Amino acid sequence: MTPLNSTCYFQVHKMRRCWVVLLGLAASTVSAAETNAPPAAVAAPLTPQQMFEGGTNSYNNWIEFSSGGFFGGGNRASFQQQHQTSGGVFGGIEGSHFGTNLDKTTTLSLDVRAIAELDDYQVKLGVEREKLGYLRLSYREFRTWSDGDGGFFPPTGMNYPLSKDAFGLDRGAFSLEAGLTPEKGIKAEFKYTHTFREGQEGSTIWGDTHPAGGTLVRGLGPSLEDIHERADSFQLDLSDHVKSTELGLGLHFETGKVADTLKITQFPGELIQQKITDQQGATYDGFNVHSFTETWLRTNLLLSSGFSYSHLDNTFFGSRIYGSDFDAGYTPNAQFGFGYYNLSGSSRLNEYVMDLNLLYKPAPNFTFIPSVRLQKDYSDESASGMETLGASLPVAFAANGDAGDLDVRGRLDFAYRGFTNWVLHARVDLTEVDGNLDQYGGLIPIAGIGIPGVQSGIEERNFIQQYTAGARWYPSRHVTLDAGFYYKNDIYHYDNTLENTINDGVLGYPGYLEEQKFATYDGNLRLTWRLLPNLSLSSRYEYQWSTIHTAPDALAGLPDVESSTMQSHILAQDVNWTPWSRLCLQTGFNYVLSDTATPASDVTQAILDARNNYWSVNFSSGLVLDNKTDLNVSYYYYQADDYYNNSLEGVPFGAGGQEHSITATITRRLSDRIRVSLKYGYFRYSDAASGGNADYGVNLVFATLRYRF
Amino acid sequence: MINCNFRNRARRAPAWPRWLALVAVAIALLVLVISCAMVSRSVVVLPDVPGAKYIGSSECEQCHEQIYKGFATADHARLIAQGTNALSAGCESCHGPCSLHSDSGGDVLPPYSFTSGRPKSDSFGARVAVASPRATETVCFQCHAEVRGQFGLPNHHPVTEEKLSCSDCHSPHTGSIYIGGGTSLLSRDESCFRCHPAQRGPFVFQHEAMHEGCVTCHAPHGSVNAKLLTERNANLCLKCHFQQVSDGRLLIGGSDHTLRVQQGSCWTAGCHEAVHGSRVSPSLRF
Repeated sequence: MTPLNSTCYFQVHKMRRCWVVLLGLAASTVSAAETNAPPAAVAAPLTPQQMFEGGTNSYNNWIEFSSGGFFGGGNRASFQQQHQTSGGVFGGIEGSHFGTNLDKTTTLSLDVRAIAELDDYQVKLGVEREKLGYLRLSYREFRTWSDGDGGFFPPTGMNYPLSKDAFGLDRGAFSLEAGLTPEKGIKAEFKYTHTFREGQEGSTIWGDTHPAGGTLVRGLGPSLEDIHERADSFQLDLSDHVKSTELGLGLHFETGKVADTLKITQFPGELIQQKITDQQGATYDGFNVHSFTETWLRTNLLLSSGFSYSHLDNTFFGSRIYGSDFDAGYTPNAQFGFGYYNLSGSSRLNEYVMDLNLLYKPAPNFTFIPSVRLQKDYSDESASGMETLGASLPVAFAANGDAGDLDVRGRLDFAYRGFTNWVLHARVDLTEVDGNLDQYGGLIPIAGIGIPGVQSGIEERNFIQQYTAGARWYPSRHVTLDAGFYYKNDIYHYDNTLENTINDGVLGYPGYLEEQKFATYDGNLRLTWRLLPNLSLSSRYEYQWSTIHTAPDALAGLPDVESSTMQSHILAQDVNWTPWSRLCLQTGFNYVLSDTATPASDVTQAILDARNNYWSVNFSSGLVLDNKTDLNVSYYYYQADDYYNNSLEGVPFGAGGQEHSITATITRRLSDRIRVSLKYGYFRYSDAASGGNADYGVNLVFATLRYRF
Repeated sequence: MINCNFRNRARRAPAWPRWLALVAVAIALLVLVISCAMVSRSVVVLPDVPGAKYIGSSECEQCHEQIYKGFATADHARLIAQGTNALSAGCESCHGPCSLHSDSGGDVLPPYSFTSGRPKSDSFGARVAVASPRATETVCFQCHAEVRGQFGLPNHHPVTEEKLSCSDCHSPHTGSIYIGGGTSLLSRDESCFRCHPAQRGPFVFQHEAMHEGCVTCHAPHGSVNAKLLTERNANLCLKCHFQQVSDGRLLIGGSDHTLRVQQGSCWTAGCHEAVHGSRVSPSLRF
């Protein structure tokens, strides 16, 4: 046999093994010893750093460039919202890290991310000197997307998209941090942060169309939120160790402005449309001072305490104005509904909080943590403005309110580890709240239309109990069993000390409510099982059942009622399998049955019980193709089938959708410094509730180049 | 600019591309052939790093005393048990086997360290942006698989896109797993208000549901419904506000809503838009 034949034989032999291995993926576990990977390579230890690069050389610094783009058909805005990404071409620095020692005890680090068109930017620069302190500069900005589509209306087949592209909302923060952290003595840390939120996002506070099809049922028009928010905060924290006690004091001041505007289109698709510009704004100044102590009284006894005082000042502004376009000035028009302008007002909030916690280990295997918390807060608010309706003369209105609460809560936590390989734990939470809520005024009737302002005084007493118990058992090194249960019962009791409304069928809320009880029972089980060295399973099941019981005030003349029952079954299953030293497979399955039932569906088919049922599967695999190349293939499937078209009775609701996402990524290491990757993805979604108008099928091509140094 | 083009333009997804199947088959065949090459590498599925072994949480105390002590107060401390079967439970439940880290005096990072110093590995998962093996949530999902499912829903907080992190709302090392709430100084909804200040209030006319917490109406991880709502239709409100049926009428707040509920959900079209609280309307109209 010539060497050539020998080699060929060897390859054929290997080819047979490959077939066996690949066929075996679906049938049985194959140990690493049966593969063609040399045993020495399988067992060769790699440090985590080396492992990420697949080589023995590791470099601490890197820069990675990326570029990609989406192409395909369907509703691009819907795709952007679901996957939180731009719908076009993007690229830039995927990630970069540079770290170096300036001297023996001083390090400098710089992290950068900058992807144009995704509006995803991050810069972090830090200098740190051991036992002295640090200086950090950071900037972070990213964008989220929402499609802004209104509701699809089956009787007319109408859908009301606002824009072809998704709305973008940018969120960002710039911060400067400086800290003095000597080994002994007072530690001082200062942080200045400027945050902002700028842009637009869709809203589910929709406009309406005129009823169609001979019923009262009407379509829903889209709306959007124009968001302009910014805040500047200054924070100083001091801490020190005195013997076995750590002491801390913190000061925080924040000033900001919220100027958000809801823009609603009424009667879309009709000859005469109305645009509503609803601006709700406030400027605010907040101040907080807080302190804490932590003392190890003994090695088994930790006492900690905290105190906090906060003060918040708000100044309101706002308006709700109708017009033929957004941002119009007020004009009287018989077609226009209720609105207002020149809103001005203010609110103040004062909040005092203190807590006390004890960690006590009376025996090595028994932990006992009692804690209490007291919160006292009170607020007062006032507002006034000019109310409008149609062509009537505007009228002045005023509103004010005040509220106060004393919230006392306690918690007892137990954990017992006296049985080998077992943990038993339990917790009791009790909360009692006594408070008052007084509200006066508000919008008033104009030209005999509307309801009078309110005069309401409520004394409320809330009692909340939660009992939690659980056990965790490690029957072997490869199996963990976890079981838990909790019961929660919230009772809200209202004494309506002042109520100007009368029981004529058009009056306010919650004047008629005397008591509301929320009860929740929850049980859950988790099993983690490393069945084989290369196969592990994780299963979790949870059942939750809740009710809300409502007792109207005697004035209402109505009996008690169970307002709702909510029930959920939540199942999750994971399987991780490495059938071959060069192949890993990971699969997850989620199945949820969840519904909320109210007696409303007994009265009208306009409101059907709400269902949030869905199931999803995710799968990913990693395959080592050769010494320099890997292939990752992933798949995700999601389905919800809760949509029901009852458009003859009411606006149809319920989530109905199906998603397939598949990606394949090939990664090649050109050298121990350079790595390139190419990804292809296909994403497909169909949505029942939007009548197919939110469907898409989108392709992705994405490439990266990484250089380590 | 807003493009208010209200034509009914159905934008249905195109049919599955036929060439996709051909490409998939071609790739499978290619993989089959290529996979027969000799290689000296193997896959590594975190946290199982070759050569690393579990050493137990008590070993971590030697260098991370402060964190170790504080961990006794953490909800996650319930993982720790006596006995050899539970050796891996505790710090290494999340950080992975730490023998290499310990033996090297800290020079070798644990399999999951959550610190700068490593580039992202290839992403597993099919969504455009998915949790990288370095990301905090990858570790959390190992036990909290039901949460991973929620983050896969059409409406979710952008955690798998790495714009938020589990640790923005959860505290793994000390006290309650929730940042705020319970008997901690910070109140329960502070995590939400930090990013959503417009909902903080106080308002002149308050919504009592805010006392029960944001999660009464919102599923914070993800939901099949827009705006992370726990229910998509009027039941979101009626679960608390359903009062009674009287003479075949649906009474809410003492008022007959039988016909009104045909026209949309409670918070649409000027009925009760100010769901978080209002400065002008006692009925939270807007």
